[in-house]
Amino acid sequence: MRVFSCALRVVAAHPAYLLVYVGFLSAMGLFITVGLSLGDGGDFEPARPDVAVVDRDGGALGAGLAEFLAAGAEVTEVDDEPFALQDAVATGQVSCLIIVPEGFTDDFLAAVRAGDEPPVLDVAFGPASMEGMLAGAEASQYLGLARAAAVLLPGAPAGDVAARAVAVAGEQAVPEVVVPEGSAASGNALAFYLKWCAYTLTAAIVVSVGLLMGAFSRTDVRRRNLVSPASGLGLGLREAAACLVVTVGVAAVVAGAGWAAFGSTAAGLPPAAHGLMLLAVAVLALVPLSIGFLLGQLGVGETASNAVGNILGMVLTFLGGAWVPLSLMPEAVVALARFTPVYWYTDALDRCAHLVEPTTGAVGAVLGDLGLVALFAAAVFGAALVAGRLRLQSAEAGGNAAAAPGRG
Amino acid sequence: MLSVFTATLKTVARDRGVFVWALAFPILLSTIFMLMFANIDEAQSFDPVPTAVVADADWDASPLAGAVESLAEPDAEGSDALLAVTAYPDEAAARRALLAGEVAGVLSVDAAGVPRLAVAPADDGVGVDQVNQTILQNVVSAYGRDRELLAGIVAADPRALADPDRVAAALEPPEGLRSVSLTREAPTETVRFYYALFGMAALFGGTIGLVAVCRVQPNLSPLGARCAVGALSRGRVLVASLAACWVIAFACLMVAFLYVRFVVGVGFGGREGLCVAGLAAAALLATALGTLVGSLPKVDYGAKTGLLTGIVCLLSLFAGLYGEPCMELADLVAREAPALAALNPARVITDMFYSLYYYDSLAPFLAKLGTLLALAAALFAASLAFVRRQRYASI
Repeated sequence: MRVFSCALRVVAAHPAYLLVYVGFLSAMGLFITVGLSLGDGGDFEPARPDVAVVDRDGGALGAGLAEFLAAGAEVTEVDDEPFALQDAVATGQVSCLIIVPEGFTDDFLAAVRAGDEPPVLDVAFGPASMEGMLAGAEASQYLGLARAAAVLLPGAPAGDVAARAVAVAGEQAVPEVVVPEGSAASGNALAFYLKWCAYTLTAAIVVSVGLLMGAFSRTDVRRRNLVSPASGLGLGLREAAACLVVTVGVAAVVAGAGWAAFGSTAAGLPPAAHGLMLLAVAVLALVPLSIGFLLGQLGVGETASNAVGNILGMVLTFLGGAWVPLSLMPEAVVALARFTPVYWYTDALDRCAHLVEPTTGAVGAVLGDLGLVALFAAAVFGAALVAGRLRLQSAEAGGNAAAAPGRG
Repeated sequence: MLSVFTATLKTVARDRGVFVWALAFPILLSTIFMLMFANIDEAQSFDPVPTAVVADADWDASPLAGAVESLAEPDAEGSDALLAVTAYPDEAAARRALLAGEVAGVLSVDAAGVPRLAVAPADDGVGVDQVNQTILQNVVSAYGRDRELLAGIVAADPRALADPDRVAAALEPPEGLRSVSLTREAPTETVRFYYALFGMAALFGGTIGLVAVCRVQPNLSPLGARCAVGALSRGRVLVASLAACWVIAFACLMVAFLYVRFVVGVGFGGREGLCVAGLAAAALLATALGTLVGSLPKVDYGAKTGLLTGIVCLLSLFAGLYGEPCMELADLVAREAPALAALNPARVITDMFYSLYYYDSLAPFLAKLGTLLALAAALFAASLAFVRRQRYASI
């Protein structure tokens, strides 16, 4: 019992890690998830890109364009000077910046009425290229409407042409949102949060467990413990129990925050889906537990286990598709990602988020994913046991190698 | 002083732990980014929207069919098609594909000839679904808008629509937009990850300063105790040690920079020389941050490294390192509280590279550089307050 409580005291003596990795990162996951539109409401919400119209013409068509775009986009004012234009595009203040050249209104009307190619608008896209394309498509539609009005009403003044195009801007189709049968609400928000927290879990558990194990595997502490009346097995089991308590504690905080914040949005899911999500968190937590255990067995110090936990957490979370969707990545990377536990964890959560009917097949698929995650944990744990054994026999730890010939 | 400098240089360089953060971290993560983003900037500049159409008799009879077909073909300039269309024989099959996530929406035409759009709840969390659905909404809206426009025109002049060919020609979509770049380099979604990575890696260089400061603190290491009773004044020992730390932090950043520039192939707007100056300032700031954390009194070494890691993770989060949703959060904070962003060193370092990449003028870069130097000076001044006149042991 003493070993167990002492091990927990080691972790408790480093509140900075727990505070930063568990408290703070979980809170960030909550903030980011709250800020997303994850379609849990079931209503269609159109994207509203930020656009700017720089009107160098001052004619009716330029003014009409800004008015037309305002129906489906946020129109922002940008000064027409080189730095402000660059700034707006570079900082992503606008995803689409349209420049109406001087004389555009007159040239456009004259060209379309004569059957010639009309002049074009210069458009610059910001980093959010998809939203930029959306705004660009709207602007093209406006020009098409203006052209139709100008051609079909050859005598209409520019103001009338622009007004006719603007008048139909509000004519927007209302899509029907098809919701899978029986799921008014889905677990998207909860699943997204839990995916984000793959980093929180990995970093927090690797660091805490690595710290705990590292404290016990320092050579002189180890020697003292080995000559004590406690058996090696009992000692190891108590350390392991303390590691497990830390792991369960971290996972409980992470999961508890998630369910407290987003549990109600996933209320439409059956209890089995909730149970499987919770199981996913618990199983994923075993992977950093064994990594931390391995680091401890290797005698890695506090700074290095902090670094390994943090960096590994980021790499696994990025590769597992929890931060950037894997659909955007090349196939080779997706293939590589299959060799990381977080990939199977995110896959399991995605399945759970839409698990309306817990059929044997659907639950089996989730359990299959989680089984793979557990296998990763088991493999690392096995490696850790071997590493621990080798280190026990090493010269540094005073094992058999220390007594080998040729050593003083 | 020179001997303290060289001795610090040697001892820190022999500590492999500090290189994990300052060197291995940026190289490892940039390699991961390189693999992950291999085709985002080229292919994802715009991905056609996966669209299902219910190709029944009503659809074939509708003008929407032709419009959708033309949107699914690359335009004359060879740029990407807007839609990637898959035809399904009936509504049920199309909706199955929709719910399976294979398409962003289902376009169909009912018996009355009215176009319809069905979508699934957008749930990817990064807005791609939402934008795709809105693009499809626009395609369908275009039909309604054309009809409304024609109704208005016919009300003004009943003879305007007399010639069907003229109407068809008038409704042909014009080639209305020409894409131009206003910035030095075209905006891309991925450079920002690398720049944010440099923000984090530079600040992690602070661990070098932290290690060195802890070593010269008489109560934290025997070496510090020996230095304290040496002939060299405390200030000189500190200056020489910190100069050595800066050299190592800068060298690590330079190696990472060369790797990212030449192996990963990330562009820096052709201003690599200025990047080096920026990295030198970033290394100075990191050293100052490490010094401040390292000089906090009554905190043991382990807690200091934990504290520094925590600070750097926090600051990097608001520079947008942890994925796209995180970038949106960082941008939101920068818009709502510009002062916070202006004082966040990770964000300043990220923005410094950004300003070189995007702006013709060097003024934004110089402003960021100035901010870094001012922040470094402030941090050094604060740490001086902790390091000076400390009493470690009294009898």
